[in-house]
Amino acid sequence: MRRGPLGRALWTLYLALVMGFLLAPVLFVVFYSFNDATMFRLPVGALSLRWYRAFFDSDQFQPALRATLVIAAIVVPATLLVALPTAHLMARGKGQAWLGAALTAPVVVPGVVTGIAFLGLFGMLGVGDAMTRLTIGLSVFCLPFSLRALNASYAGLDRRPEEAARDLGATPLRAYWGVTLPQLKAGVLAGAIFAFVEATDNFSIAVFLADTRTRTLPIAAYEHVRDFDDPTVAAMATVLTLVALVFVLVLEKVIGLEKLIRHG
Amino acid sequence: MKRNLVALPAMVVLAVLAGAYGSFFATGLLRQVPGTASVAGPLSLDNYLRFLAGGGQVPVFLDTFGFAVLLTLITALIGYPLAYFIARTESRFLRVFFLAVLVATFLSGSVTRAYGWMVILGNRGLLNSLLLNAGLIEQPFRILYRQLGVGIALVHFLLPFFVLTVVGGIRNVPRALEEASRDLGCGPARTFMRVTLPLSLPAVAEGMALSLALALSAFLFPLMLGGGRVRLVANYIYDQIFVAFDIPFAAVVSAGFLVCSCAALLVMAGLQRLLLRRFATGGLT
Repeated sequence: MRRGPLGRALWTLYLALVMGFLLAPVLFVVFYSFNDATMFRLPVGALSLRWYRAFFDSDQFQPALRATLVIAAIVVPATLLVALPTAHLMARGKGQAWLGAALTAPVVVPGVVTGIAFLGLFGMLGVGDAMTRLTIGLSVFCLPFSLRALNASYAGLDRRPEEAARDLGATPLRAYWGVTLPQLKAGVLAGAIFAFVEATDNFSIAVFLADTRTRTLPIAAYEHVRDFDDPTVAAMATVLTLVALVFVLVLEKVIGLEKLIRHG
Repeated sequence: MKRNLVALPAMVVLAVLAGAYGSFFATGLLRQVPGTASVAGPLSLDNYLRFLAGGGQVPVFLDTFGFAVLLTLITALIGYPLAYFIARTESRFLRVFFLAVLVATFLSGSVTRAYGWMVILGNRGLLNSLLLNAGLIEQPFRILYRQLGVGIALVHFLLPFFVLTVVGGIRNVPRALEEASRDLGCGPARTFMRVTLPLSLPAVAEGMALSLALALSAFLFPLMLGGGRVRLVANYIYDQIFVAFDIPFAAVVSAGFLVCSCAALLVMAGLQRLLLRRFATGGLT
């Protein structure tokens, strides 16, 4: 890109403004979480870890954090276990495009509709346990995100090693396990990260499947913000942002962000 | 046999989805037992007739679609230059840095971001405190709990989706075409307007369709930043269930809304196909 001094200045201004806009909420929340006062006031007073203690000691957030982690620990492997054979089917079978489209429905249909629909189905099936409902519902919801990452991996896959393994007498399962799956490592990692993020961040479906005893972090955060005006949620948001940053670093190191976009 | 085994997990998920959506839309044919959350027969089309006759939902539908289209346009206008910069900058550092900011924003979650905008835009938030301290305003300027605040937060939510979709489209525009245009005497601005922009329009249409779908189904942002005063279709459906306990009517509103948003997305998809045919780069890449 060659440009004159005016063009350069305009570009710099634009990029600075957009970056400011993108980063403003996250940066301010991080700063706000270390603010000792309950209310935000200028000039800024003392800094403290008070709201982190409030978050980790809270009898609202602690069970929600535990429930969210348990749900994620089940949803991520469950999603991958469904996504791996399905992605294989979509890459190798013919005319499977409808399958991907059908499984993507929960992303296109408003979460509120999907949430009520799941709640009705679980009601009919007599699934009264909120944990079971959340785990199943969120696994189904997360599937298209993992699937997308795996489909991208299959698109760039070299099929010759698998064919060679088959020619040398490996069973299809052994060829898949020993040759194809290792080639899909990057897609599996990206798929797991997307599933984790969607499972822990979902609000509109989870709010229908949760109950007063089993709630996830987004629901607890929403209820806290509705009833109180203090930076406890800022502490939670900072922790989540830190997790997101770790994911970005892992994605960049293992796959490379540029590659992620090209296939994304 | 073996193929069936591979297809089994996907089929189970499809069955769950079909069961959930199917049974939900079927309840639209039943009736609410007055004053309760339960439903009962006999089957009738009453709820559909009530919906078509137009009740409280018509202004909500119009508001939601107008708002979503406006936000999609704003997102495209703000996002396109960023996508162009990321796709075309010669500095790998800047490219990875901007991509990292976008992906981090995307991965940091919607609750985090909705909350961030709440504490920035509130009456006692960062923005109003700064403006009051600087003496630029006397009274806090109300941004939260109206469409403005919800819109700002939603554009912020949509931007990474749009930009990450469009970057790929711009990168696929062959550089040789841009160079040829320069060699033939077009300036950078004209080359951009006549070569790069038209060839990237299919990707722009795809990014806008994605933004539109996400804006249409927005629920958490209007709930948190709208304070009950900004009501989009998703919030209206939620109220039908948790306030009016009228699940059959909620099902009918959902069905009607799905039909409308599918129609909107089909228009976008048609536009994308039209653009692809008009500006096909086949054979050049």
